[in-house]
Amino acid sequence: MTRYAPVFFLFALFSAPALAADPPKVPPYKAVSTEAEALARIEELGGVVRKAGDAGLEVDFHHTGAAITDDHLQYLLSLKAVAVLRLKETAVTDAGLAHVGKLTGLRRLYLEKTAITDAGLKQLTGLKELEYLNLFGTKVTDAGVAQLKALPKLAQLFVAETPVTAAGIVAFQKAAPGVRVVPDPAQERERAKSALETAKTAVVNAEEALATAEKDAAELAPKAAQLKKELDDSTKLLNDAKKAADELKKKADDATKRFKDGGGDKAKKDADESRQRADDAQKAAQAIQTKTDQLRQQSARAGNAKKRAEDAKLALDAARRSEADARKLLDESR
Amino acid sequence: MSQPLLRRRDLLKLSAAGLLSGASVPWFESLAAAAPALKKPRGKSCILLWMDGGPSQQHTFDPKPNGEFKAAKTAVPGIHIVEQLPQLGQCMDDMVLLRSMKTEINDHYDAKYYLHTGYKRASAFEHPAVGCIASSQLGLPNDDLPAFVTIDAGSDKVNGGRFYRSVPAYLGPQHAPLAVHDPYKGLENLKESGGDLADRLELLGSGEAQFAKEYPLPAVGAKQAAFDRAVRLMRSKRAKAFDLEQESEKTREEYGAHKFGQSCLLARRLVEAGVSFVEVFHRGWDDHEGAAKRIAARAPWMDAGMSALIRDLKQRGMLDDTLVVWMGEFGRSPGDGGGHFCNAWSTAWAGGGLKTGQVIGKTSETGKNAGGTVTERPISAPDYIATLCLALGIDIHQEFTAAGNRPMPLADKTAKPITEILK
Repeated sequence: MTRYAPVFFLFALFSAPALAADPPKVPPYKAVSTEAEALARIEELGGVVRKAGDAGLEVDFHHTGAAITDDHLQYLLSLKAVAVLRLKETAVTDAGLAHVGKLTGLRRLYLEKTAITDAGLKQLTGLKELEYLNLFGTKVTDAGVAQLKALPKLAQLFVAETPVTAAGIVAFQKAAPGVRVVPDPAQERERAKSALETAKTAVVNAEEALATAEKDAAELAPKAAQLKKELDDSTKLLNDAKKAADELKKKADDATKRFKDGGGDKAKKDADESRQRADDAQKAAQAIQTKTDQLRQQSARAGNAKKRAEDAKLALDAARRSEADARKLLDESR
Repeated sequence: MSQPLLRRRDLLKLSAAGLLSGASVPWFESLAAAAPALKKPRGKSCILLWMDGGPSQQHTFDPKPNGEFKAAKTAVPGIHIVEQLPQLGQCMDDMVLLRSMKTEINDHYDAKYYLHTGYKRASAFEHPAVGCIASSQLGLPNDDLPAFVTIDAGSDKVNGGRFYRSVPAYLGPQHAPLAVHDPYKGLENLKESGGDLADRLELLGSGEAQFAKEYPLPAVGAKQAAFDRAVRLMRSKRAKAFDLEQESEKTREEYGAHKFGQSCLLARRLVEAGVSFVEVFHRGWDDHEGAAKRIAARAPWMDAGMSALIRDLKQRGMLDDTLVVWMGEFGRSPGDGGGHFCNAWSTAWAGGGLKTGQVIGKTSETGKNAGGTVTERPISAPDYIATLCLALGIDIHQEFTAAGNRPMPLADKTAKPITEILK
């Protein structure tokens, strides 16, 4: 370590623990006699103590991980009014919960991803103020959770990723109706139902798209060349018809002008007739336009029918998979 | 025995003098390392899902009777969102919709600045972004992980004007975000290159020690702090939070096989590991050609990613402590959503220990321009940012000192926070 001395000297100016290549050894538990001493030990372990609102202290071992063991929890007994305790992913076991069970002011307790079991939960039943208990990813079971109905103020309980069963949760909800348990089987069931509805709609839509694409592939695709030719012919016809209509419109405009310039009855008749002819030509062009548009659409459908059918098959497969998933979710929620 | 107590007392004095909230003060950092117990509540974490370009409210969280998207029931009776977001509908118990955003600015960049800082952009003065504020107020000093991380969740196409990047301004460079450019890759440069890093650091350190001795300036400290932070992160066990491969196949599927969903998952991992503020941004929501077709295509992955995030946080008991925010810099014009629209638009919040399962504000329901005006509880950008800070447990009445001894209140003085959603 001595060869790092100059570096350490520099870094110490700004932030002391920066360059420790090996994690520091965890100091073992030592008996303390005052609150200040306990605070200092907790901080030495990497824990953080804060004010938790007006109601007491929050002790946070969130960032220390496995360094915190059962023995270390005895420091908490020297603190006044620990209201929040975060022990996520620490090395705490059932033995440590014996100490935690004495923190009678505790309102929130985080034990997720620790090695605690039902035996440990028994030690917590004296926590009359406890409102929040996180047991995510622990080994607790239905039997352990059932004991928690003794906690009068418990409002939130987290038991996902544990051996706790849906039946166990439902039984607990009956015994302790004031507690919001996560996961909630009833809510999971609603979600599964909704997912199934969505998936079913997606399957229907995908089936329709596939049917259309397949029909096009069978009926239109073989005629692709013919449709293309018809489209080309129709486009030519359309161009001619548009030109003719334009010319007739010009003639009609001229005739109208002659009549307005004082051409008399004959000019009026000419103007009316040529207007009629121009309108007819316009209508004819319009009809060809509609037919051309239809042909263009069909031609496009004929051209991409195969590709669309392939895409639709993939979409349908995906939709069916999510439908199966949704059904499974629904079955599991029973 | 009396030693730590004295240190704590000193810390309190510093706190009273306002020094704890300021920028990098080198001797403070070493003091804080010795006694990290800050006398303030922990606060909450935040995951900000930023839909860059301005997402249409009528095609997401504020559908209208004659709108292009149909409204569908949610888990909360009386609250409807578009039928394209069924999984989020199932999360409505844990969400708050803010439907009466009224934020003055229709220009992309200025609006992004306004909705990230709560202040209008001014020349020659920079305001800190909300992520940097959270870093300064909620992050632990000398932590292995940065307090503020941004994740690029990709883009549909590059639109929406100049991209806004969060700036810590007078809060100090240590509150700048760490940027993850690709959620699949995590932190690409996190591995030590070569086996002689310690030797190289020693060489660098001895060179810089001389300089630091001759020029004891804040900038030297800041540079050293940033460098230091990188090395610490490189060597921290907690850096595995950046690695999505650690998640199960099942979890990764639940978030959706889209960069956005995987970014949401990465955000959850980071918050779980102690990061205070994560901003996930997805670009390409500036739908001038009409929002219906584009949002219909985006809805499945947005629905999957965001709802999986809310559910996952809830399962882990983290939703009380984590606020999820979905927003852009403004909404879209009523109807087809073709234009920018700052006059009446929506954001969606979830978790954070808020009073969830409710809607704040209303926009006009009927008429030729349905949804074009706010009819109840307009929310300004200062109101919004102040509420966000309060929800995270940040004291909005404190003042910072910007360059030139200019006092800067954390929230604009005009802000009226939406107290009805706070517990």
